[in-house]
Amino acid sequence: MFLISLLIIFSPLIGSILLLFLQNKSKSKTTFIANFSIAISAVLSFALLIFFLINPDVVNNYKLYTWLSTEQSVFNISIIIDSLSIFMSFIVSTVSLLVHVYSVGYMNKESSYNRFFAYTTFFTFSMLLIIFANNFLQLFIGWELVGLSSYLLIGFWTNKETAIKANLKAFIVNRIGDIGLILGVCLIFAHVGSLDYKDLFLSLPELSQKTISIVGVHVSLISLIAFLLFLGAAAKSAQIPLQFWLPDSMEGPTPISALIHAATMVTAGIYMIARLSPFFEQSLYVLDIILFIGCLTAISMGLVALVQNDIKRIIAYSTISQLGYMMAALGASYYSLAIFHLMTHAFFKALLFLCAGSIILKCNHEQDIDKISGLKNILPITYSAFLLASLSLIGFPLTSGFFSKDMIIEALKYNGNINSYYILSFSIFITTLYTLKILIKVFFGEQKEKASSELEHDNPIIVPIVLLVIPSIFIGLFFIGPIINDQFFTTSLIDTPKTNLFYETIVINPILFSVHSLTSSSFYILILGVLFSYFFYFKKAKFLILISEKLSFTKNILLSEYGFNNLSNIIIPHYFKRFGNFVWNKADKIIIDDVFVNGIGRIINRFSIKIRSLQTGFLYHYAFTMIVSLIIFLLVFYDY
Amino acid sequence: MMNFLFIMPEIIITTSMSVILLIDLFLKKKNKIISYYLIQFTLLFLIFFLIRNFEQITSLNHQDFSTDIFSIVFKTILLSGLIIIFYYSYNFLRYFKVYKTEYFLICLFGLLGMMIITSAQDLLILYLGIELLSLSLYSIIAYNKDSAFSSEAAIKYYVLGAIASGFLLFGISLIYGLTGTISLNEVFQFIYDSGSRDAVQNVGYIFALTFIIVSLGFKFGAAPFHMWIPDVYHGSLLPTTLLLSSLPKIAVFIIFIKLLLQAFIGLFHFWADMILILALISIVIGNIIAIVQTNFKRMLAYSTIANIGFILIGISLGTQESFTAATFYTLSYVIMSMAIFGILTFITINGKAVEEISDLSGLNENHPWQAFLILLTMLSLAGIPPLIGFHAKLFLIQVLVNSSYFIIALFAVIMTVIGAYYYLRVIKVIYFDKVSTKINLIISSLIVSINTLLLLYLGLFPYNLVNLSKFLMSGFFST
Amino acid sequence: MLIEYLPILIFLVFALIFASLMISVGFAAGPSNPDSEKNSPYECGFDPFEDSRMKFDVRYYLVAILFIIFDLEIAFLFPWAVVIHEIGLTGLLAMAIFLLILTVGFIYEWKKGALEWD
Repeated sequence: MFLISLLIIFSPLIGSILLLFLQNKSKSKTTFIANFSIAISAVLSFALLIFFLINPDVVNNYKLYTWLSTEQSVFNISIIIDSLSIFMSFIVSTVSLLVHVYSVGYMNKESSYNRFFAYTTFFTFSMLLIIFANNFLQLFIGWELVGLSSYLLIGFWTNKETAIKANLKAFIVNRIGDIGLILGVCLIFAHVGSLDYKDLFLSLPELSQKTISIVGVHVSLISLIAFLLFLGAAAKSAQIPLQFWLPDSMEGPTPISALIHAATMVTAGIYMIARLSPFFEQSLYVLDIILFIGCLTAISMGLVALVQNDIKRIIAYSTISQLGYMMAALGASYYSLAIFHLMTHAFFKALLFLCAGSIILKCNHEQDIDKISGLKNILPITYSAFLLASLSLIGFPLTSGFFSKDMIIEALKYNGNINSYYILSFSIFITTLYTLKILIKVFFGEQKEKASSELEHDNPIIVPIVLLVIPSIFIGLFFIGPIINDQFFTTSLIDTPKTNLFYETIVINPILFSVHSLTSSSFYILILGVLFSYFFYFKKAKFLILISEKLSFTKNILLSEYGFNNLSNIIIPHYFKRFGNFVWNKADKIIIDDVFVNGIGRIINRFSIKIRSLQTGFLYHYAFTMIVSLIIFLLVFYDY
Repeated sequence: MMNFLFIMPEIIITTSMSVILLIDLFLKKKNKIISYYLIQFTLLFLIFFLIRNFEQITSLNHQDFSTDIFSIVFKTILLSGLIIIFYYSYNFLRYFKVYKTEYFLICLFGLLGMMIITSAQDLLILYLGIELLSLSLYSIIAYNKDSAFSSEAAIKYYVLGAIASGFLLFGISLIYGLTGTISLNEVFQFIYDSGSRDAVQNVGYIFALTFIIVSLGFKFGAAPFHMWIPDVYHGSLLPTTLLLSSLPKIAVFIIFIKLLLQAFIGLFHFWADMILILALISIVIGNIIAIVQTNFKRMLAYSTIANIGFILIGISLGTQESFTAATFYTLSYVIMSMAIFGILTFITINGKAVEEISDLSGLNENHPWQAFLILLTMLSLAGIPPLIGFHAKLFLIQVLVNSSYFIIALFAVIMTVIGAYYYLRVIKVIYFDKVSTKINLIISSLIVSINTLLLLYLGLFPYNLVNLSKFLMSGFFST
Repeated sequence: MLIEYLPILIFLVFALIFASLMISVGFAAGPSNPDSEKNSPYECGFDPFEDSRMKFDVRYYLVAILFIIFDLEIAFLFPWAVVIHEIGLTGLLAMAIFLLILTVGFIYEWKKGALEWD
């Protein structure tokens, strides 16, 4: 077990290191190393999952070694193997493998082919590090590495200005979250004296008594820590108000978008909160905040997606919106539902992105859906895959997305969070609108491109697309029982009894749940959405267009992402720039640069040159120095 | 008949040196490689011998020549270090066609001296070891006969070394005069028994200690007795610098342990501040002068001085933790030093050995792996995690903080930051400057890669080395 | 204990004071009218031909060093010979080993040509 999990984690790292040192070597070698190293991870993760399903006793913490020990505490590097980490590593490595296979075709003409794979394998490694961490130290290392590799990958095209701006933005926003995370971790360390999750959970009763005073106001310690950690998670998982880096991250190559959105980055925040569920459970305030933020993100970002034209940006906003669902599930303490939705979302979202990549490649890197149309006959496979993924995304009964999403909505209703229930139900309508908007605009209508002689299935990128269709549609049906009902997550999440109760009263079994959903409001909202989009986008019904023209003010608000775009692109940069210029000129240049940095440097340099001249090179000077020093020593210590 | 097992390693070395010297005389020039292999074989055999007879040797208890676990472990470390150093040196000397078997034989004399030091239980035997070591170092520094620098360095080191030895002998004679014995344990016992002393006696001890510490400070290269280090590092051949900067540091550290910890621990109040002052001056001088150096070897010479300052800090606190930290620092510094000089020995610039830092500009272009190795060693020397140098500095600073020496700890941190500058400058030159020279490699870099990656390995898993250091020091504090 | 050395210290101090006194008195009281002739080195009435610090052939040093080694060997041998019947077999063996090591050195220098003048 231990060896397998080690291999799962480190095989991508080894691949990455190998790739870094094989620079400028043959492409086939690069392809082999990258895919092979990820394949090892994926296959072993799958094996681990199977093994776990057969024998759930493998749950364990394996200590790798002691990294550091001080008088007060010990820092171990260890690996946690339980249902949650096994499940997550299965998702991450599988999606990552498919994306890698896809990239072989997609990035084929890229000159920095090798660099790309070195980064992606490293990205996967970082995420796996987070997943298998059993303490905050490793979590933080993985967290930072994920941030770093996303920075490198979003700005992969280093000479594209927008890409550079986007990766900077992503990095900075993540940094804000990281501040929250590290402050939280520091508080935990200060009060628990250990960074292990286990020790944190053990000392919960003691911690819940403590309060901490901030500017005279007493705050419950647990709530404060939970809030800080949530800040970190919100930045990584792109929740309001730290969401605006994610759409911009579309500047990277499309496989990277798939990787970031589906598996390796945005899920980290969700995962962390789920992993720390016993801890978050102690702070109802923060859970409410999480629920609120989740619902807000789900609806508002869905609305923004409506007015976008860039195919990748729409999907990106949809990701944020879906992450909102997961956050809402977390906030309502349905941790396993959140993880379940995370999984189904990983698959269908990866599929959507890969399809988008296929479309973009076909249309010579045109991403505006108003300029693309009629691809149905040119890209038949992509079309069908996209259609199925869209069905899953909008939650069409019996698809994966249906089970996970509707279950969250039903669970909220069951739990009594009626407001959230309505918001998320309405959000389905919006999801349907923007999803079908892409589908209709891109695949139907007038055929602009010539049907080329090159057949679609000749391109290697089609293989992972086809492979991803299967889990996108069916994995929900397969896993809903084993995961939600059979107490799969008992060992790692603490919501099992609650979720179980919900399952037994509402869901009962997948088929019944589908039947039941026919009577639920979400299904009718879905139908309504489909009808609307049919008239709106396909038939281009006059009155609907009229309505949208009348609402141009709203549209502008949405286009500017409720001002977040202005905030992040214009206002904050502008004022910060002015403030920065001021600080730079006055504080930095004069005080820090001239006085401290250069000043100290200059002083040290001058000093250095001065005392260097003591090193004359004459033997008698040396001997003289020695004897004089000896005499000084004798004089100084004579009195002792 | 006496049992000679306790001194058997030394006897083996002496015998094999004599035999190899004679064999080498009758070898043709192209067959000299045989003597090299014989020497390496001798060293390997010795390691084998020590491990094989570990139990038996350590059970012997000789009064003046201890063969306890401490000395045997250190002997093994010295032997294995020397094997690697010989490997680097041989390839270098061979390439530049200055190979002579005598070079290695002289080094073996030095090794003999160091082995005597590790076992000595008596001030005079200790002195014998120190002199044997110093004499062999003088001669290998002068080895490069054609270079004026080399001879100059050797003369300087020789004259100053003679003065230092004089100081040491004078100190020892004072101790003998005061205590009436030269055995380390008896000196300890005498100081322990005499309890409160009169003022005159205290003056005597202070005089003796000052002379001894000044002399050891010189041998260690602590400022203000460091003057010889830059000239000697600069003047001698790279393999000589490699040897100088590594194993003798361990030997001198052992002398410090033997004298200060074993014999003079009762005089802790007298010597602690002296050592601390030496340490602080060394850290300042080493780090600050290194900044303006352009010659790689001179820069590393000053870096040595700074690192020795750190080791001395550990010694000056006199607790078990601090000595453990100092041992850890010494061992890790020696590994780092062997790594960096090891890399330099097999890089040639336009057919010459590396001299200036700028010689290496743009190394990354053509030799990325070698550039990476230098990167690792430089980062380790600068004390950046997860390399061993980080842990070495961390433990020392931790000990300082635990002993409430906050200002000194802060000072050490600031000096580390200043020190990082000149290490990082090397990285800048290697990675960001334009290629200006033709760089070739003498041999494949397998061994040196292992040596360098050891820094990373020990940085990730420092506990082996920490436990070793703890174990080595525990013997002195058990009573 | 250290107090026993006090007379020596007193003696040293007096020696120091007395010696410096003599020199300084001579320096201060004696007449001093230097001129160039007086300051030049005196060499039997001639002007000096060359610097009096001559260079020696380095081979003299080699011979001198080699001589010292064997001279010291003799210095060890005499006392050893005097007490040979008291120290017995151990003493004999020890000296044998000592001579053996010296012989190795001797063979080495001979073979290396250190004993030849040219």
